[in-house]
Amino acid sequence: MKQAEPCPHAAAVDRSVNETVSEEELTALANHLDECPTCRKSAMGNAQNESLLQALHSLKSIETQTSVDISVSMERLNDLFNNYEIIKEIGRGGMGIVYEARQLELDRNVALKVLPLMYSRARPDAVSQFRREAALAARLKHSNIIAIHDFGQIEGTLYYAMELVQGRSLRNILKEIEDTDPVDAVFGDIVTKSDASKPGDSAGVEPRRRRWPRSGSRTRLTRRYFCKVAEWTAQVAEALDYAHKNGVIHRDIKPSNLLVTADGRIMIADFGLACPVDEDDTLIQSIMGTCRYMSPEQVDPAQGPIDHRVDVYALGATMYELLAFESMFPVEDEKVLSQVLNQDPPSPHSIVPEVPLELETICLKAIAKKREARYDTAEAFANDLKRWLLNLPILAQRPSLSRRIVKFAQRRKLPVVAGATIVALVVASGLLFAGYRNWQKRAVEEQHEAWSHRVQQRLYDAQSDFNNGRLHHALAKIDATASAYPNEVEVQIVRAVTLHRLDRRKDAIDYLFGVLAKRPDRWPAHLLLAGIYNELGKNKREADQHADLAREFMPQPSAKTYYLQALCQTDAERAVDLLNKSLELDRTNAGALLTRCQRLFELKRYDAMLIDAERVVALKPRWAVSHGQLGRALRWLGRAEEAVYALNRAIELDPQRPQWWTDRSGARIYLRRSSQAIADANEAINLDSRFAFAYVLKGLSRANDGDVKGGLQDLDRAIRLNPDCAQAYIGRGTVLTRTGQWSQALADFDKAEKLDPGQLCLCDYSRACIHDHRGRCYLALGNNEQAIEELTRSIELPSPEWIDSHWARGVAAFRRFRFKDAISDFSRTLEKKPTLEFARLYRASSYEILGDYPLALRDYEWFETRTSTQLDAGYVRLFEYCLLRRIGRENAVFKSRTADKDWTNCLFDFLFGTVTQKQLIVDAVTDEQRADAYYFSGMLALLENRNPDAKTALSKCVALNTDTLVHDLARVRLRDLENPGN
Amino acid sequence: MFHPREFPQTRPSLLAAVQKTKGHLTWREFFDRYAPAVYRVARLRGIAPNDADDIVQEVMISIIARITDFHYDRDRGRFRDWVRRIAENKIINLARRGRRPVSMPDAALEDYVLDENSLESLWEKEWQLQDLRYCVDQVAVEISPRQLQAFRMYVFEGVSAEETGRQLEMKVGYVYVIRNQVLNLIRERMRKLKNQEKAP
Repeated sequence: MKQAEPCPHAAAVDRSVNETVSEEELTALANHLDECPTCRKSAMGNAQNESLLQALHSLKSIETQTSVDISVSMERLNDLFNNYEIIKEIGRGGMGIVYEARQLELDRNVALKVLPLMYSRARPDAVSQFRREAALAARLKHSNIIAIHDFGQIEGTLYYAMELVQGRSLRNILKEIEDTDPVDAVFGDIVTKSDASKPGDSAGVEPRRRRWPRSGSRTRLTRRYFCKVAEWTAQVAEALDYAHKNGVIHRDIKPSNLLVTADGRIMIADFGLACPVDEDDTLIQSIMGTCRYMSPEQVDPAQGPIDHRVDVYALGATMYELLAFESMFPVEDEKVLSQVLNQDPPSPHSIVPEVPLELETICLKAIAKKREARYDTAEAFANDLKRWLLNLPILAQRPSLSRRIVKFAQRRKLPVVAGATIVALVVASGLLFAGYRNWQKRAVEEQHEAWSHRVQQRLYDAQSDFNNGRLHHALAKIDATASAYPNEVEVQIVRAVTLHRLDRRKDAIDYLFGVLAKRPDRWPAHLLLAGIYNELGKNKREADQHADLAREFMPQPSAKTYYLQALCQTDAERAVDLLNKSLELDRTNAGALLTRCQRLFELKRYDAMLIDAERVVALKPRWAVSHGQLGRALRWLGRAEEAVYALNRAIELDPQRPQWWTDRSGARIYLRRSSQAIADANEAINLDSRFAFAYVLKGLSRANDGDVKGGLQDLDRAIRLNPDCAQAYIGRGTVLTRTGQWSQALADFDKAEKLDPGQLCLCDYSRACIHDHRGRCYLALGNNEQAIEELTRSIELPSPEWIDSHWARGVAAFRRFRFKDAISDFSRTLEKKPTLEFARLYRASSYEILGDYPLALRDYEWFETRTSTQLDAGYVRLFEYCLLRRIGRENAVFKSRTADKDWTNCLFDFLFGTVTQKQLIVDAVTDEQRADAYYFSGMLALLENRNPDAKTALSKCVALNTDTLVHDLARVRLRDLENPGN
Repeated sequence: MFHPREFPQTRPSLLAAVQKTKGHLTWREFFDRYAPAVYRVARLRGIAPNDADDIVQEVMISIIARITDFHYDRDRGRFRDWVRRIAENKIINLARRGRRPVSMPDAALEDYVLDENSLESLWEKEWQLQDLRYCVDQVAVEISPRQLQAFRMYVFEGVSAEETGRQLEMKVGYVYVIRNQVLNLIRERMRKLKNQEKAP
C-alpha cells in the first residue's frame, strides 16, 4: 500500500534536499518527517550528500591550527605597552586594529592603531617610511587634523596613538545617504523624525535597493546640503594646505579618512601614514577603493612625480561623491584604473540635477586629470569654495567642452595646439555662454573638426614621409594612426595603400582581411583587395569576387564614395579624376581637397595644386596642414618667398611639428637665406632629434653659408640616422661637388637614385639641381658627352630653370667643339645672368672660332664698360688683342696697355715683345699662369706664323690639363693646326 | 576581460594584484584561506609543527611583501599556484638548511622533492579541503545558532538524530531537514567559489 500510494509530501522532501526552502516550509516538513518513515528515509540517505558528508568528516579530523596569527592579541599588547592600557577594540581592518587606549602618563584616552607584526616584517621599507612620515605628521597641529600624539615600534609592532575623535566618517555618511537621504544623513540630529518620514516617502518600503536620489523626494535636497558639502570640503582643503606648507602630503584622502565630529567639525585622519597597502577593509578594496581617489599620476608613475596636488585631486573626488552620491568610477574591477587615467566622470549635475553648476565647476577643476589644470594649492581650492559660500563669483572656469576636446585629444596622444586655438576661438567668440544646447552641438562639431584635422594631419605626415624617402617612417606613422583610429575607414585605406606601395602586398591583404573580419561591409577594403589581387594576376576569381562585393556594399555614388575610391587609387591620374567628381558634389570636403593636393603634387601639377591648397586654406584656416600644403605648392612653383609666409602660419598654428620647420628651411635654402634655414633645421632637430631630413637641410645650409666641413658632418649624420634617406645622399653629393670631390659626389647621386628611383622625394627644381650637379661632375671628370646628357635633362625638366646648367652644358659643348650649341647655351645663360662673365668670354671665343668676329668683338668690348668682379678686365683684353691683331686692327683700339694685375701686365709685355717667352714661363707661378703663358706664346707664334712653335707651346698648355679657358682654347687651336680643313 | 596590453603605462603590480584576488578578501580572510593549506601540506610532508608555523609565517610575509610586485602572467597560473610555489620553496629551503622532516630522517633531499604530479594532487586536495572549510565557516554564520548546533552535533560529532533532537528540543525530522539544508548551502557556496576561481 505504501508503494502503491506515494506520499504526497515526497516531492517537497526531495526538493528540500536540493534547494533552500523557507522557514515555514521547513517546520512543516519536519512535522511530516516525524510521521512518515518513507520520507524520513529519503531525507536521511541521499546519494548526492554522501561525498560531501565524507569530505566534511575528513575536514573534522584534519589539523589546521597554526599558532601563527596576523594580529596581536590584546593581552599581548598590554604586555608590550607600558604607557598604554588597552581598553577596547574600536575598529579593525585587515592590516590594523584600532583600540581605544588610555595613555597612562597623561591620563587621557587615545586611539591606538596597531599594525600587525607581520606587516612590518614583510615591508621593512614601509617601516622606515612610516617612521619618517609619522615624525612629520606628529608636528601638525590643526583643528581639522587628528593629532598624532605618539608613534613607534615595540618588538617589531608598529603603532601610533592619535587623538580620540568621536564621529562618523564620510564613508559612513555616504552609506547612510544611500539608505536614507542626504539631508537625514548629514543633518540627522537636526531634522526631526517626523520630518524625515513624510507620507509617500518610500524609504520604508525597500530600503536596501533604493539609491537616493533616483526615487523619493528630491525637493529636500536644498542649498543647505550643498553648503555643508562646500564647507566641509573647504575645511579639509585648508587643513591640507596647512599640512602641505609643512611639507606633509596625505596621499590617501578618501571618505573613510575624513571624520565628522559630533559638533560638526570635519577632521582628517591618518595624516602622512598612508601605507602602500592600507588598512582599509579589504585587500581588493584597499586597492580599488584607494584607486578611486587616486590621481592619475599615482596610478601611473609615467604621468609625473607625486606632489601636493594628489591631495587636491583626492579631496575633489571625495567632494564629487558628496555631490553625485556616486563615486566617480563606480565599477568594481580593474577597469577603475584605466578610467582614472582615461575617462572623465559624468558631471555630477547630470546625475543629480540639483547640484549647483558653480560648485560642480569647482569640483571638476579639482579632479582634472592633468595636475596643472587643478587648483595650484589646496588653499586656492578652499578659497574658491568660500567664494561660492559667500555668493561671490568663483575663479574656476567651467571646463569648456572645447577644453575637453583638448583633453580628449591629449589622451589619444594628439598634439594640443590646434585644440588650444579652438579654445581661444571659442572663448573669444563668447559662444561658450550662448546656451547649453548650442554649446553641446558646437562641441560635437568641434570635436569632429579637431578629429578630422588630426586624421588629415597624420595622413599628411605619413605622405610627406613617404615622399621624403622615409618609407618606413611613413608606415610607422600610419600604423600609429591606425592604432589610434582603428575603425576609421580613411586610415584603413591609407594603411593598406601604403603597405601596397611598399610592395608588402601580402601584409596589405592580411590587414584588409582583418578589417573585413570586423566590418564585412567595408567596401573600400573589398575594392583594394580586388585591385591587389588583379595586380598579382593569380587570383582572378578572388579579385572578381571582391570587386563584386565592393559594388554590392558601395552606397549610391556620393562625394564620400568618390573620395574613398580616390583614396584607394594608387594611380594618381585616376585618383584626381575621382576627386574631381567628389569635389563637384561637395566642395567643402577638406579631406578630399587635401588628398587632391597630394595627388596633384605627385603628378607635378603644381599650379592646380596651388589652387586646391588655397581653397583648403580658405576652408580650414586653422589647420596647420592647410598652410603646409600651400607652402609646399608655392615652393615647388619656385615662389619660395610666399611659401615661407604660408609655412610661417603653419608653424604658428602647430609649432610642434618638425615637418613645417623643415619645409620652411627648404624654402629658405632656395632663397639662399642660409642662416635662417639653419635655424629652422635646428628647430626641427630639437623637435625630433632623429629627423634625418632636418640634418640634410642643416648640412646644406651650412655648406651654403661657407661651412662646408660642418655641412658635410651634418649630412654624414643624416645618412647614419637614416641610411635610406635619398635626400641625404643628394645633399652630400651637392656639397661634395663644391669641394671638387667629383667621383664621390657622383657615387652619392647614384646611391640616391637607387634608393628612390622615381625621385618621389624631389621637386623638379631639386631634380634639375641633381642633373646639373651630375653634369658638372662629368664635366670636371672630362666626360663631356655624359655631362651634356645630364645637363640636358636638367634643362629639360619643367622646373624653374636651373640656369647654370646651360652654362655648364655650353662649356661641355665647347669642349666637344660644338661651338654653335655652346653659343646658344651661353646666350641663354647670359639672357638670365648677363653678369656671368666667363660665359661671355667663352661665347666670345666661340664666335671667334666660328669666324664671327664682330659678335666676338662685341662680347669682348662689353667688358670694357665694366669694372669686372669675376675677371680681370685686362685679361679679357689679351684675347681681344689677339683677335684684333689677327684681323689687323690692333692699333685702332689699344691705345694703352692697362691692366689691373701684374700677371696680366706681364702677359701684355710678352705680347708686345718686351718680355721673352722664357722670362714669362719663369714668372708664372701657378699651373694656370703657366697655361696662360704657353697659350699666349702659342697664339703669338700663330700670329707670327711660326706654326711648329705654336704647336709646341699649345701642346704644353694642354698637357697642364687645367680647368681654364686657355686650356680649352689651346685644344681648339691645336685641332685647327692639325686639321687645317676645320 | 583584462588584458595587460590595454594599459601599457599602468603599474602592472596593481593590476595584477587586483586581478588575482578578485572577490573581497580581507587580509584576515586571506590568511585564513591560504595559511591552513600551507600548514597542512608542510605537516603532511613531515615537517614539525613549530617549523610548519615558521613556514606559514614566512610564506605569508613573502606574499604580503610581494603582493604589490606580483606580476600577473596568464601562463603562470593561478594565485594559488603562486602561493604553492612560494610554500614549496620554503619547505625545500628548510630541508636544505638541514632541518629534515621528522618522518623522513634518512631521506635524501632528492626523494623529498616530490614530482610535480603528486605535488600537485597533494596541494589540490588541500585547497579543496580549505575551500570546504571556508564554505562551512561562511555557512555557519548564515544559519541560526540552533541550526548550527544541530548540524554540528549530528554531522560532525556523530550524535544520532534522535539524541540531537532530544538535546536541542527539536523534532527528529527537523534535524534531517536542517542537515539537508545546510549541506545545500555548503554545496552552493562551493559552486560559487569554483565559479569565482574560473572567472578571469
